[in-house]
Amino acid sequence: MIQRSLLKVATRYKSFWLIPIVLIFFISALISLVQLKQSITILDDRYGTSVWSLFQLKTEMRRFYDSLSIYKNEPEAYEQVTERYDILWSRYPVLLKGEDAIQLDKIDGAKKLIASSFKDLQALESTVFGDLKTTPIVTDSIQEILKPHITAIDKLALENYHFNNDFYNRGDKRVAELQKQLIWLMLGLITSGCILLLIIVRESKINRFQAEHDSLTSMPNRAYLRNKLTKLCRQSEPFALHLIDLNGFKDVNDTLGHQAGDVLLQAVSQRLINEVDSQHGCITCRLGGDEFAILHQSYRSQYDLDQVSKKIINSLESEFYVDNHSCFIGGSVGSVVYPDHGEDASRLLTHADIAMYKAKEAAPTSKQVLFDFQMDAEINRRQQLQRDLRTALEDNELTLAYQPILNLQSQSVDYFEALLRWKHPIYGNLSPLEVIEVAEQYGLAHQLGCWVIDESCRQLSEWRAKGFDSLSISVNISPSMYRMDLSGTINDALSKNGLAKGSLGIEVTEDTTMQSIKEADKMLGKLIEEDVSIALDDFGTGLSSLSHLQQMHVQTLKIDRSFIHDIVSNPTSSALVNNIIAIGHDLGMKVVAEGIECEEAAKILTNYFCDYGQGYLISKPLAPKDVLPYLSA
Amino acid sequence: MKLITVLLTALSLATICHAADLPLPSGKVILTVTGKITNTQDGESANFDLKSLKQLKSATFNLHTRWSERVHEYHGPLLTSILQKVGAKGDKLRLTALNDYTIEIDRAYVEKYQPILAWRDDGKQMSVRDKGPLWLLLPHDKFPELKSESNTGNMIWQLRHIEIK
Repeated sequence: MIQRSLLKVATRYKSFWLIPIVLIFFISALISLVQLKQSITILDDRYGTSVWSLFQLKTEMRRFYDSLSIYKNEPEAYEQVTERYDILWSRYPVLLKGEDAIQLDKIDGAKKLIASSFKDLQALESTVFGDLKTTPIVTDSIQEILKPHITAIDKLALENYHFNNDFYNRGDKRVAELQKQLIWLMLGLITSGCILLLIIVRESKINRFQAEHDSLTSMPNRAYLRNKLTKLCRQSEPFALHLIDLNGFKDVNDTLGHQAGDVLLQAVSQRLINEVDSQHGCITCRLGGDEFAILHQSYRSQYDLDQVSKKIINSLESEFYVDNHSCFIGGSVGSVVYPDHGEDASRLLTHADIAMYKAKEAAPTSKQVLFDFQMDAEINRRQQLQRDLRTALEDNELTLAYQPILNLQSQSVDYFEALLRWKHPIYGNLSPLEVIEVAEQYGLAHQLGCWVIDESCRQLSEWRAKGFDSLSISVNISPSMYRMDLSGTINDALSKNGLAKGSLGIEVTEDTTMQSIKEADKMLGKLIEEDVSIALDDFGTGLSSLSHLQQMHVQTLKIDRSFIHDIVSNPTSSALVNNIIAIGHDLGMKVVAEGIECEEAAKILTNYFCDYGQGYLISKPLAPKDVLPYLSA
Repeated sequence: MKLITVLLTALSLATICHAADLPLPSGKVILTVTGKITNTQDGESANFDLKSLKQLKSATFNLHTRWSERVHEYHGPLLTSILQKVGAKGDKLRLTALNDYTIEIDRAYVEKYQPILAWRDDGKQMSVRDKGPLWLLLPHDKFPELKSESNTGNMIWQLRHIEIK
């Protein structure tokens, strides 16, 4: 919780300090760049050749001077004199044009001095190439002219050398200064860079935390559990995993609202952390909705497992307070043990899920179930059936059997109850209950219901066409069909097969009707309008109260076989049946007795004025082809 | 025996033919190449006058050097064509100017940058007074690295002598 609030605060103020840090980073980087450029410019400035060129000029001047001295004694050296003159000449333009000239400009009068020296040299040209050739003695006068120039150029060369040295020293100093500043800038750059890096690291930490934790309870989530399981599965240490689904959470959500639901979830997680995690070294995760998981790493024996699962159930069953309401929930716990029930995260989770669903069958009672592979087989069977049911429906492989319902007073068969039959290629004949369960579980109930209604109508129309005009059929409908447009489906099927309204009746059970009483009430009302007769099946076994009978728009009451079975031997059953029949009649209903197996029972029922009877005494459910022979017999 | 005679004759003929490629200069010698060369006029050196240099493969560079205020058009033989002409065998070149300024460069450097020995500047033959008669110029307009101090120092003017080492 503390971590969570810290995160919030950090996130709120993040943008305030992120901006200055980024600014510091970029400004430091920018100034560093400018400084680097300055340093390069300063360093570039050092490359000048004026010092070299001036000393070259000085040397060439001396060489020319010396060549004159040699020529004075050796007349054959004249060629050298002219060559030296030309070379000396070539040194002047170097200093008067181009980059050296620019550098020389920095010394007062330097350029003027060079220019005048050059002019004097040029003035000597006619002498060097004229008189000198024939009169070596001219060298003296030329040397006299050169002497002051040599002195002046010497002085200038030295002055230029010192000037440049100073200049370079100044540049050095400036570079040193820049470097000092650069150190500060670099410090800023590195510091802000480090802070940015820290921010990135922190952000990614937060992201990882958020990715692996539930936002409502701050508990680890499914992603965390999966990662953790994968890690644990790489080790050989055993551990247990408990999947928990809350019982009765939906009711809290529905009655007190989602806000209260969230508060309850927080309370549940807090309780699991306090009572299970801290005491047994477990980790509780919220997987979503009202599903939790507890990772039980300290598991060593069955005893540990029992202790923890007991603790889980106890903590969930104690009273919770939500918005001043006290509420009781419970939990269904499915447990698995690594490596016995799976060697990887997916398998463990799937198996824990299977065990949890098994435990859920006991809901609303809390229960813990340890996975065993038998359950896996059941699931496999269910999945196989689900796949096959889909194709069976498409390929019309299901059939209906028809059990006659006898009018006990007139001893004639007025209608049949259609019963679902499916002969599975592997599992053989399946009970209609299982087929409906599979259909309900995998969303095939609607398709199955439609098929039953359609097929019954088709069959009825066939029989009627053969002269059995007064026959009708009643079909059983499954719970999820309450949510579909049942009257529409029935009407479509009837008209498709050319049957009048009222030809088809439906049978509903107390339990399913009670479970979704609101929907059932609305739908049954609509069916009555459409002239569909409704029978209440298995009456007396379910949860209904007699008062519901009034509201339920039922025209027929079918007394459950358990009462009929004892009717001969048990006076209480006999009295009950007698009274149920009377009540049914009082409410204007017809009454059917189910499961008549002996003549005596039939006799008693006839005496009680029971309207209809159904059971092995009258007939077993018949294959379609046997129905007409039965009626004709 | 006969075969050897034929071969020797062929060899000497070849040498004569090769030597004939390098005629004795009729004008003033402006460049002398010595050292590890196979093609000479006197067994030691190869001497060139302007006329013989003009016959070699040449190039024109438009350069703004640091000693001038604008772009000049320089023209002259490629140094590589001179090296080829003299049959240079060494890896290093030692170049010396009239004023004894000397530089040493690698053969590979010459092959890479293809400098010229310019004798003409803006259509005018260069005299000693204008850094002539030969000025080694590097194409620093095409290779920026040639603008560096050390490379600038390699642009030797008033070039007179090349020794192949």
